[in-house]
Amino acid sequence: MAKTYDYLFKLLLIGDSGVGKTCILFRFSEDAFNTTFISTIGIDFKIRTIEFDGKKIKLQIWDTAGQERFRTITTAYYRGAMGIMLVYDITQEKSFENIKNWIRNIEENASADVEKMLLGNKCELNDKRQVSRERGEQLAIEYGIKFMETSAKASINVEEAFLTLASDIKAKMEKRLEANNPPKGGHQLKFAETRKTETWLSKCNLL
Amino acid sequence: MSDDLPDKFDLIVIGTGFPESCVAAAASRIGKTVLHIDPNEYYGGVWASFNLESFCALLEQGGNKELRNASQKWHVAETLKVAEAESDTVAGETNIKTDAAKQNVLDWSRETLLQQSRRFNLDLSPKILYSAGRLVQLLVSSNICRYAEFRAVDHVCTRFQNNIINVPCSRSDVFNTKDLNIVEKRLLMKFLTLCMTYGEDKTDEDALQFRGKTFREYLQEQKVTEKISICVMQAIAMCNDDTSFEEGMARTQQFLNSLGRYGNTPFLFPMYGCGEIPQCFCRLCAVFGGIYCLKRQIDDINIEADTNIASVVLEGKTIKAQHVVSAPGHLPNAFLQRNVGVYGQAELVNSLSRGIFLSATPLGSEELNSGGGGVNLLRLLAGTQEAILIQLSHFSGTCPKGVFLFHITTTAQSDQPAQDLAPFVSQVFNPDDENAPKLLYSAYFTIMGRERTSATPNVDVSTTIFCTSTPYYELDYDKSIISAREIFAKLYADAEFLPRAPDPEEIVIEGEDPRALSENSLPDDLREQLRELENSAENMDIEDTDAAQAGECTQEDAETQNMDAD
Amino acid sequence: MHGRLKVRTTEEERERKKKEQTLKVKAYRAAMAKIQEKRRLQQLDDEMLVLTSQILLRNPDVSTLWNIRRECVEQKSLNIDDVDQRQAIYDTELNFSEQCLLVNPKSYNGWHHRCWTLEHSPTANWEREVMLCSKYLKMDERNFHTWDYRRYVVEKARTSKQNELDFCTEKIKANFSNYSSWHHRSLLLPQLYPYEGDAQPKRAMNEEKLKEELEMVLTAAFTDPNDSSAWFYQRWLLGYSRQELDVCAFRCDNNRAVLSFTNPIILTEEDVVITDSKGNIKKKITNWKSINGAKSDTTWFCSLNGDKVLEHINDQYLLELHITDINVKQITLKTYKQSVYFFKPPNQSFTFTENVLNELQTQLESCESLLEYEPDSKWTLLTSALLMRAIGSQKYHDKSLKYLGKLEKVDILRENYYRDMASKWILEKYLLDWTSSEDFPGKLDLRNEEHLNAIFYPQYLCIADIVLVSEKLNHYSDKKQLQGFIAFKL
Repeated sequence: MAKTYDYLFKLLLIGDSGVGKTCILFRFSEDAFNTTFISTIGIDFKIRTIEFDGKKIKLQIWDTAGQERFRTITTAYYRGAMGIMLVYDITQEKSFENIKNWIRNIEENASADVEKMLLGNKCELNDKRQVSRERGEQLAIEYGIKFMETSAKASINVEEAFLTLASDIKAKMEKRLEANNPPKGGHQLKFAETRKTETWLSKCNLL
Repeated sequence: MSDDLPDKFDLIVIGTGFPESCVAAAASRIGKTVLHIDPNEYYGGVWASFNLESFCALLEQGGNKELRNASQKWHVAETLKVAEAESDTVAGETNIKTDAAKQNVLDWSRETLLQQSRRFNLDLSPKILYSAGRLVQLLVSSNICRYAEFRAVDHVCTRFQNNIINVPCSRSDVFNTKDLNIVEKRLLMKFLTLCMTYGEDKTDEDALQFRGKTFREYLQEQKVTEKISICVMQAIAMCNDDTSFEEGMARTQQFLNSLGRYGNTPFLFPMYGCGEIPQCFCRLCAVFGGIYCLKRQIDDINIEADTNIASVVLEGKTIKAQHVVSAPGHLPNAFLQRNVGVYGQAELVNSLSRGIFLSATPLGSEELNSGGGGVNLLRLLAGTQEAILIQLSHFSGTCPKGVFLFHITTTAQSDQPAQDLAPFVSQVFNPDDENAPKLLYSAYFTIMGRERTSATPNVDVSTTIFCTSTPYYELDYDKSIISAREIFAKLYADAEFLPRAPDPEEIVIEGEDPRALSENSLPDDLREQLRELENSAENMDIEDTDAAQAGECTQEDAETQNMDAD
Repeated sequence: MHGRLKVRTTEEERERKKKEQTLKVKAYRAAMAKIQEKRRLQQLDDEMLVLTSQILLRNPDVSTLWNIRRECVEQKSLNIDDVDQRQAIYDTELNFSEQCLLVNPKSYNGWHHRCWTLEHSPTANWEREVMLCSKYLKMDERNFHTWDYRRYVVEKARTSKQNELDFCTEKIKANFSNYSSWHHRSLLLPQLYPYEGDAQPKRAMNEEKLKEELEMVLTAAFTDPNDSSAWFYQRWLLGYSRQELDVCAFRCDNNRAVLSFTNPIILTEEDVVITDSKGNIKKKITNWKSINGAKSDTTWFCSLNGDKVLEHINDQYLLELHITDINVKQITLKTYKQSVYFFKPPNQSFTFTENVLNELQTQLESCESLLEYEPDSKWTLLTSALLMRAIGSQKYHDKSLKYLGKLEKVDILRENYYRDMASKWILEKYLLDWTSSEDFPGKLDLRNEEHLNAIFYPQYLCIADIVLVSEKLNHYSDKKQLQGFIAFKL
């Protein structure tokens, strides 16, 4: 079966432990919220295909697998990422302060033109809020990225956030294609998508 | 922060090099609790990749336990201005450079190279993978392959009469090459086809006839020309004159079996360098619950006499583990002095002599570097010694555009890597040869390895501490995988080594009914269709018996519809 | 503590899949029912487009639905005057068919819908289509649907033929086991490098290019002799294509006439006239009958009922032909006994210029040196034989037959193929030699040609009074084709 999408975007979730990255991931991919997700091991990423201007976009969204805990995210995690969701918890000041560190981490390891977006999660817990919406907006402006407050639990803005990020990536990509500047890297190969094509024995034979 | 850690693990792994990461991932995969520590602040140990700045810094400080005898040299000026003054180019010109102009060696300085530091991924232990080799098989079978991307090696080269020529690998290569005449093309194809089918017939006459003889003797018997013989010996079978017939044939078959899978050659190189490979295994370990701590020193390890349980002292905190697996250089001195039996422990000796070179121009002809150059592999010979040269362009994600990165590796003969490599370096970077790449930067160092000859201390079968292997002199990771598996088998005798990790959609979330169909697994448009269907179900006469293949019309449908077509 | 990983069992997975299937079938049937209902009501609206796309995306081969889409598109664009808005409707169709082709790149319907869309859209971007083809050919360089479509759009886009040839060369370099790309090449070369010499039959391309092509194809053939695509292309280059229409033979006396051609044609009443040397019409030959009773045939005869066409047998007579596809309009006839005749023996090989001959000679030498290593290599033997025929069929007659004889032994599976080929060559040579023999054209004696196993050019035999064949060819005398001339006894 040939591939049935026009674009494949690799997106990352980044932020401190406990800000709700996994819940955001499940809200978007399964439209579900359940705290037991967090204890479910073995899940690397989730996939959801969306449609935009008649183009099918497959979003592959990666989770940190707990490696954010002691800031031991591998450099390999950042490779090939086209978009990054930076997530903090509006009820945890520390997680907001750490965004700067995560951005530095991204600058060191991810591709320079990666599309970023800042999310202040758990916005349903307004009574426990430690980070004002304005501070979030300000930080986003400082880095020149988009910002949204989300709630994975109450299903607020999660869908919107991913669609915004995806559409920004698509726009950037099409601009690059128009400028006749194809994505770099020559032929990069993913094992899962490659099959043995030409062999020594592949030939036409009639006679 | 260590305080957050549990105080008991099934396995503690020290060092995040390739074999350690392999064992950590395999243990985590079968449900063992794993704590994975590295005293360095980066992943990979002696298997890591560095950006230019940290690489220079590492060499500047004289390396570490596993990397010694380091030296480096800049062949370009400190800054561009000085370089321009020296070369008598138009003086007083501003420093604005276009990409195209950077092709020239004079357009690089130490400063401009270091400005691009992040674009470099300099491997301490570079490897090339056979497309059907042991590592690729392991990556695919374990599903770890999803963490990495690869570039097919563009050309396999060999030296023939002082020229570097392309070794035709695929059928289309043989067809396109100008280096062979048509009779040679036929002979090479015939020889390779013969090798590919060799062994299918067990009573093969050649097998009997050449038993105990060398591969070279076999080649001579096949009546091939000298050029073909060199291509086969040096690049395809990677043999020496005394390689046995069986060994040479096996290597040729390994080469041929890896062909036609991913690119034009049978080889792959990991994008962004080989330092990615151990990280991929670490990611799997983490996905299955392994905990990662970098930049942590182990103070000591004690082993409880009656239970054999290890108590690892990690920055003052004691953590217990059934087993400890460590890279050879990382066991704490306090522990070593007690002379406890450690599986695989041995003195570190000079193992590999390594050279890293940067140039603004690639090696070999335009044809070998079309489209800006790629990844080329060249095996070099000097007397009875051999070395592996890997050329990398920016397409491999290991150096900036306009720079070519060369790795040369040979077995260490002494503690002077520059001297060990000199006979090979002079073949490719001869300053008197106009066509040879002009160097911007060069560095030499020795990768330390376990002494292979020295007897390991007598180790109890029930030992708790295991030492992993160091990088071998080999193209691929075969021996390293074998040694990692060996340790894993000692730890968990009956467990499967890295079974396939399930894809996310196969995993049942806790609390979920595994038989239930989530509407989410249906495509958006179908979901909509169904919802609408539910709304209007009463008005429509819909049969849902004999569920034929959904979305595909039955034979009958198709026929009536085709008649309808114009 | 971390939870344990749970993966669906195969049983659970099967049950899940089954539920999913059932739902899909439901959705599919609902959509189909709705489409039929809407079509009945002629509701060709946006909803119809959505419904059809749901099904077509999963199975692009339901022709009816494509037809409905076209109806919808026509309906929709009917009421829109703005060109951009109209174009947008067609662009949606292009995007959509592209997605369907991703699902099945070999869908006839999908490709056809693209053609239709582009033909009807206000502003078609043909260059984009050429790029699309390149993309699809990168995924599968042997998809003949794409090659066909490419020829169609390239024509429309007026892409330079040189670019096309370069593209084609790249594809062959990547994988020469590709009939489609060799074929594409064979269509381009005659246009890009037309033959301007005067050799008959005309060469496919100019000889300089022909030489290059021969070199390239032999390289392919040597790289992998077991791949037949290159060999077929080589044969085309060497001229083993269908022969051009020409007259083979004619004979006529006062009672009967017989006329034959290289290829079957339909002969009409107006076509053939016999004149004297001054051009006076002696006889317009009408009432032709084909020898096989077919409408189109190579050999035609008629009865002249003693019309005294040839009053003075020693006079000069001419045959005038009014057949559009034949260049020769007037043929001087020779006299034999009480009849006049014309005969042009079959000549399957070309006469090449020095330049190409040298190349062929080099190739033959390469083959010969390879035969020293591999004396039994069937492809090398066959190529050598074919090259020899191309260089000089007379000169190498015996040697090329010897190679065929060897091929019969090393490639037993195709024994009869080589025998037939040998028979063809033997007959060619025999017919050529026949013209200078005493018996010509009255008697043709094939009895001594022991390797003649079949008669490939029966139309050439029709002017003989008697044809003698060996035992094993006796079955030919039953064939109508041969009866024609046997009946034609003077």
